[in-house]
Amino acid sequence: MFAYHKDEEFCSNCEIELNSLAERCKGMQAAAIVSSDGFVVSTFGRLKDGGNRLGSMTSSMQALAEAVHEELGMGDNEYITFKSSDGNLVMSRVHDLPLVITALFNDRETVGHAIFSVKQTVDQICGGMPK
Amino acid sequence: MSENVILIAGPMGAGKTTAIRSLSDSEVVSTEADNTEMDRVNKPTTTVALDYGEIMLGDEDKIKLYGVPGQRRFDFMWRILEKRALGLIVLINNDAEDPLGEVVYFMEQFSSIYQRGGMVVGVTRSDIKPEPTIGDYVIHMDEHGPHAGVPTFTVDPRSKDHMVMMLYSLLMNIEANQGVQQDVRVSQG
Repeated sequence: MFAYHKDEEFCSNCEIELNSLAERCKGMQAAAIVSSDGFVVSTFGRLKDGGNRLGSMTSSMQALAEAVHEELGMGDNEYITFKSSDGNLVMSRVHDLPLVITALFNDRETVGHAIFSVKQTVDQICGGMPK
Repeated sequence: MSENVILIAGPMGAGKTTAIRSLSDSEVVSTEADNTEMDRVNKPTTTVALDYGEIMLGDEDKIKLYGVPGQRRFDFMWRILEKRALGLIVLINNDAEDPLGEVVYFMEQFSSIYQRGGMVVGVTRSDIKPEPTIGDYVIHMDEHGPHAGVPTFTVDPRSKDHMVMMLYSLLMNIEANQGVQQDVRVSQG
């Protein structure tokens, strides 16, 4: 399995996409793109431990969500949201790639716009993949 | 009907997912992701959250089996699941770089379960690398922990018989330790 987190050019492209996401969503506080087994590819904003712990948790959450979807016969998981009093967290698999994006938004960002923007970023990451 | 939680822990590649698949009466819930550390452990996928299965012991006792991820970066899952656990099976692959160090590491990580006598150890892949021996593990654990006598076995995680034997041994050990603790309380009272 290709280790995206070890590919400097890919990591750099992901960083550009996270910065672009932050430009479109002024309420984005932090974000990370991680491999499906929990390694950090790229981060935005201040994250404890360089985002390593969030990376592992993102990987676990995505896998648990997919297990629940499979158990209930709900089809493929598209995204996960967590709502708190301070804002929303959105997680999404990067289409068929073994990558997951997670982004934290404050309450100035609507959940609809946050999900839409994360999906745009997912498309852009996949669009930039070598053919 | 009673329901209890048993955890299966150990380093990546020790056979935890296989052990749960061997033991479980029901379809196992797995959370596998592509393994990008093939240079470290040569297997295509790795558990990133948990494996879950169930086994009935007799008509009345249901055991819920949770396999935890082996990589240390997922230790937050260990902390979440250990709160609910009655006991712990630690699987150690004998061909690991430092199998004796690994067993002590997991003993320390799950010290609350270990200290109440709720831990057994299963040594896997000893057909590939016969040493250290079971005796080496026992001596090493005795040297590094205050509680002697952690039951230790050579097992094949693909064998339901092996895994059931370990599970029963664990449950009987827990029951015996609970009895001893009650006796101590009575004699002190």
